[in-house]
Amino acid sequence: MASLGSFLLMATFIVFAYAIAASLAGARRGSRALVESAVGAFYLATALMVVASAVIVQLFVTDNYTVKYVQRYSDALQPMFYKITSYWGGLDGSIMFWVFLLSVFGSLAVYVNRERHRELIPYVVAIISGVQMFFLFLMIVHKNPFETFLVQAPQDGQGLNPLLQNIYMVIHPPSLYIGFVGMTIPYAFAMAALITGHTDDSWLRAVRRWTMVSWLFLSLGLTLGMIWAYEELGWGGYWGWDPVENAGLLPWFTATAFLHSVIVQERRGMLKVWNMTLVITTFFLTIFGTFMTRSGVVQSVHAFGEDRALAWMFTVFMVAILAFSFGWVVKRLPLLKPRYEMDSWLSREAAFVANNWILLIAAMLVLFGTMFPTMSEALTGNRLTVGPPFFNRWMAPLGLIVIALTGVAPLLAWRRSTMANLLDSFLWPVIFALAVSVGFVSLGVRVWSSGLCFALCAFVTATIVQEFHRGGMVRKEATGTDAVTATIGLVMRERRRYGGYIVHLGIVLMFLGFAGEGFKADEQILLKPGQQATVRHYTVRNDGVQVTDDGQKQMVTGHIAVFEDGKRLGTMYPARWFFRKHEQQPTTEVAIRRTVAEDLYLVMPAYELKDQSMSLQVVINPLVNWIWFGFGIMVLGTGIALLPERAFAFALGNVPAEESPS
Amino acid sequence: MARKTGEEPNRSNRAATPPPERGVQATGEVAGLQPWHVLALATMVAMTAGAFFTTGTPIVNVVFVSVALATSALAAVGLYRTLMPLVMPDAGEQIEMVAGRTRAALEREKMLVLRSIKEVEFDRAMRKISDADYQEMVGRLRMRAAGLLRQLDGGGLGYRELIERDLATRIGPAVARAAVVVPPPAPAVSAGVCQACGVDNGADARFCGACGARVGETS
Repeated sequence: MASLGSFLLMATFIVFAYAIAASLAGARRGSRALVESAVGAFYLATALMVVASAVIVQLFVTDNYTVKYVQRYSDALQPMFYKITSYWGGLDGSIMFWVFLLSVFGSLAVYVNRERHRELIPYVVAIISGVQMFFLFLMIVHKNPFETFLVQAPQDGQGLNPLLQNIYMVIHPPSLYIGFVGMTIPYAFAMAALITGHTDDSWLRAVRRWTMVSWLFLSLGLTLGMIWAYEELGWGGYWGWDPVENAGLLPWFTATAFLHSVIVQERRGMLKVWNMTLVITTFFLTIFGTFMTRSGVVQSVHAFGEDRALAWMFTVFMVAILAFSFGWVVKRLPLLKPRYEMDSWLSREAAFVANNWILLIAAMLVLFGTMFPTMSEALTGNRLTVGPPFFNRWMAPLGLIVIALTGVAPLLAWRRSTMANLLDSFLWPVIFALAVSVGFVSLGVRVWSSGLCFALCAFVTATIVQEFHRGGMVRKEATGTDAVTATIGLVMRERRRYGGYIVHLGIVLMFLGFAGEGFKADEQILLKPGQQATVRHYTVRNDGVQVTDDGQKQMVTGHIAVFEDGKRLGTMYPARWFFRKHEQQPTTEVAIRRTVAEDLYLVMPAYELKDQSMSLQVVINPLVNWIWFGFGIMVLGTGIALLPERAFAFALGNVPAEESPS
Repeated sequence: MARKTGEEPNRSNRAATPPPERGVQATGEVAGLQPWHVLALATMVAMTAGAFFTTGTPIVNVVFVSVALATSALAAVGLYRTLMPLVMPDAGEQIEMVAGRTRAALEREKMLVLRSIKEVEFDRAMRKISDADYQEMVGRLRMRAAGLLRQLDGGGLGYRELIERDLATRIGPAVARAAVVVPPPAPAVSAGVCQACGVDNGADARFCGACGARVGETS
């Protein structure tokens, strides 16, 4: 069975090579038959990867420890669910999972666009096939997931890292991979547009939904990672600016900029070079992030390990991507000239340009901070660490600027805003923001940075409410319907715009959650049995430590009685779990009591079974649940923006010619 | 799967395709097994046989055999799609071309341009754009939409001919011609004013933005 898997990888490599040759030859000669054959080869390669994926899952499920990858990431006691998800648990399998996902997405993208963007399809097939060939080459020559033991195989496996045996860690990698892999599709269409010279906005239309879906899954992957870090790692936070975390964040910045910047090209024929640069950079950063986590150039608890040969292969590939991509951008610069120039800095176009710059600077800053230790070691021999204080110091003001732009940009007019425009649009949101600021400052909240963040969140919320209200009134007057139907019809007719506003609302809520970090309490206390301690308005009492076993792991659980202002809330159970074969890597099981306003977060880092005493970390995290809730709102908004044409058609109705409101 | 002769006739060949005789399926499809029918049937038979022969073994074997056979069928389809265009270049999907672009591409662009016009009109209603800028933007978009409509109407078959052909294949040519009602000549009206609903769409409009009817000629 392992031989079949290896054969399938090689066969897929050859099929992709044929797809490239046939598509390019077909495009050059104008031969539809060759192009159709290339597309068929692409579908064939997808089918072969599906078979290969089925093979590797079968190897895990049947505990076939003759295969090194299975032996490394599974064992007999591992639950079936985690055996299957071990497919992407290690480096080799994760690369194969990447190829599998890109095959499926690529096939779907080619099939959907085969008629609408016929001139681009040969080059899209060629580009995606080229990327696939690189990853298959990695697997065939260096990291084959089907490699077997040459001598007698062990009787049992080592098992998946206990930290990864968690539902969030099951969903987080596929979600991130979907986000990363999905960004290859817009890149392929962009390069096809450059190569064919069709640099108008038709390629943007082809990739807008792909980019949005990929962005959504990237956001989901990042949020799930934050939730996992919060609930599993037990340090009381959700984002540590770890290099692997940053690897996922980098393409998110540039993809966000791209999603906004395309609006300007569609409406005004501007920012063409920006859009090409952003889509190329986003794709490059997905490959760079993969390189970072698999090569060992950065040190992280999340990284797969160190591999110099892999590092060199990725380096060559990344240099090739940059040279090829920006080479074509330079060659096609005459075709990328904007249709119009910017008329005024007080315009929506200018706001989008500012947004592009801020997000790009944020990405470069995070990249610099992440790679600085590696660069310092390469240049000076000393590895200088860059920790959260550096990132927090620089990212906080950038984040506040992004929030401000979120509110300002939708209010500005296209081409130029007049004083009348500005007064009419900004008056109520600014008044509301000032009122909120005064309120918070009077409560003792510091202006920098929490107070400013609250004020900007209030400003953005007010702009969103104003947009919904005014748009609803316009539609109500135009259609003669009631306010509710008019608002639903408004959202459904202007799905991208109002779905985007809902996403912005989600971002606002997440920023509120981030601002709560400034009011955190974190204390470590030693408790003997029956002893209690108070942190702010909570009192915790040690009611003992118990040891239990479920066959797979031994669990040491603390029993903590919790009181708030003297009233008993219940018992919480922070724990430490010791998995068989991974006794040196116990997991920390956090106890969390969640409310809308804050979380009470208990961790038991140390304990003494003989006298039942324990060390207890008590963390109070204000507003943290607004981060998860805000993400849910973001998903809702993105879903609305992605809805097909005929959704909620009952509310669209027949609209007479638009009239300006009196 | 490539479309074969006997399936729904493509638009560019409708002139050569006679209407089907009575008794033939109204959709125009010729009854009978297609290659993908055979493949699907064979796959299902193989999966059933696989499940039968693995009876008594752990369920994971049954699942794997079924999945392996299904994915092998997918691979067979892929191989067919790869080789068939090389062996029979004309047997592939017939795609209608209009003025050098596919009809689907033009239809989609038309839809997007019309949507952009609506967005610009909404921006104007929300006071996000000045009247002068609105006129410039919407004029440019309308010209683009008009050009696309002219290409779609005149580049291949017109919509009238397409509808007649569709009806002819379903209900017979004589009945189809009678069913396509020729509208009465429009009374003389000002340029841009819709005869059906009276909305003024501007001098350059060919179709009404309110009801979609064709706008009358200049009086």
